[in-house]
Amino acid sequence: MASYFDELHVEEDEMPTVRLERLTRETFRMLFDHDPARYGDIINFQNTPPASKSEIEKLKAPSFEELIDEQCRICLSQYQLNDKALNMPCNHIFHENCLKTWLEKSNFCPLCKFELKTDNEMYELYKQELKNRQSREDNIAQLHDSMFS
Amino acid sequence: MAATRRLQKELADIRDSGLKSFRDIQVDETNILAWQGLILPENPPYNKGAFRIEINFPAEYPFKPPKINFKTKIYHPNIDEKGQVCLPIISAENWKPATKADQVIQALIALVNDPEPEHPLRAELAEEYLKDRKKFFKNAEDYAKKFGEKRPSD
Repeated sequence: MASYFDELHVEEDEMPTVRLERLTRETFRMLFDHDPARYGDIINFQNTPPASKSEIEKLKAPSFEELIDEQCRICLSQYQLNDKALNMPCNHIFHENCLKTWLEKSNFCPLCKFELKTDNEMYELYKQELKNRQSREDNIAQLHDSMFS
Repeated sequence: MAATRRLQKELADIRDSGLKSFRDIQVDETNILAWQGLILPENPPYNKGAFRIEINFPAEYPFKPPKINFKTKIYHPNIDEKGQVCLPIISAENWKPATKADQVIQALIALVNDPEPEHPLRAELAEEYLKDRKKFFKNAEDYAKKFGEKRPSD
């Protein structure tokens, strides 16, 4: 007879925290299948969560040359000598204060919407789920093309 | 306040650019967060009038989007009786701080010129627009003539 654990496809020694995480993920996946728009409402992704503090701290300052004759696209003023600026991973530069004010509210680049990681688990799960879905669709499309073209 | 400095700059740029489709811009010196102006659509049936709009910027601008309101009544599927308009570029989920006021105004004028009946605020007008374009044009034109402001001649 299959054990309780086999039947539920669960490792016997699964830690409660791991288990909770897995169940959360599965629940959200079901909810997502059932009603994606509602899923979005629940985690409220219309107001994207702030960027994770550790991500913000990782941002590097651009070189002085990169600031010459350029303007910060948040406050629209030109960079002055001694202005502090930060470079996003997408290579868009803003004043440090301007950018931090924004990233404490939303996790994406003020110009191109490149996303930094957040500390919001549900939002990260949601993003991962979107990505998985996309790659699954791409795979199916690829398979389809390889068979019929 | 950060919003004030950016808005002074944006306002000066817009005034310098001499836009034909957005003019008569009025801003109270004591409150740069509230703009009024006249939009002049080019496409029929809205090219028969000029429409006054109000743009209200929040104190947190540009970290929060501005709001737009029509002060002039307009017969349009995407603008309701109260003058509220649903413009994606300034919705909470689409807003980004690098978006400038002149882009918002251009998007608004484009929406007035070419209604989007797929996302209407007034379903009955969207339906008329799709099913009886002639009647819609006539109604919209009558409205523009009746309620619209005079278009500057130059």
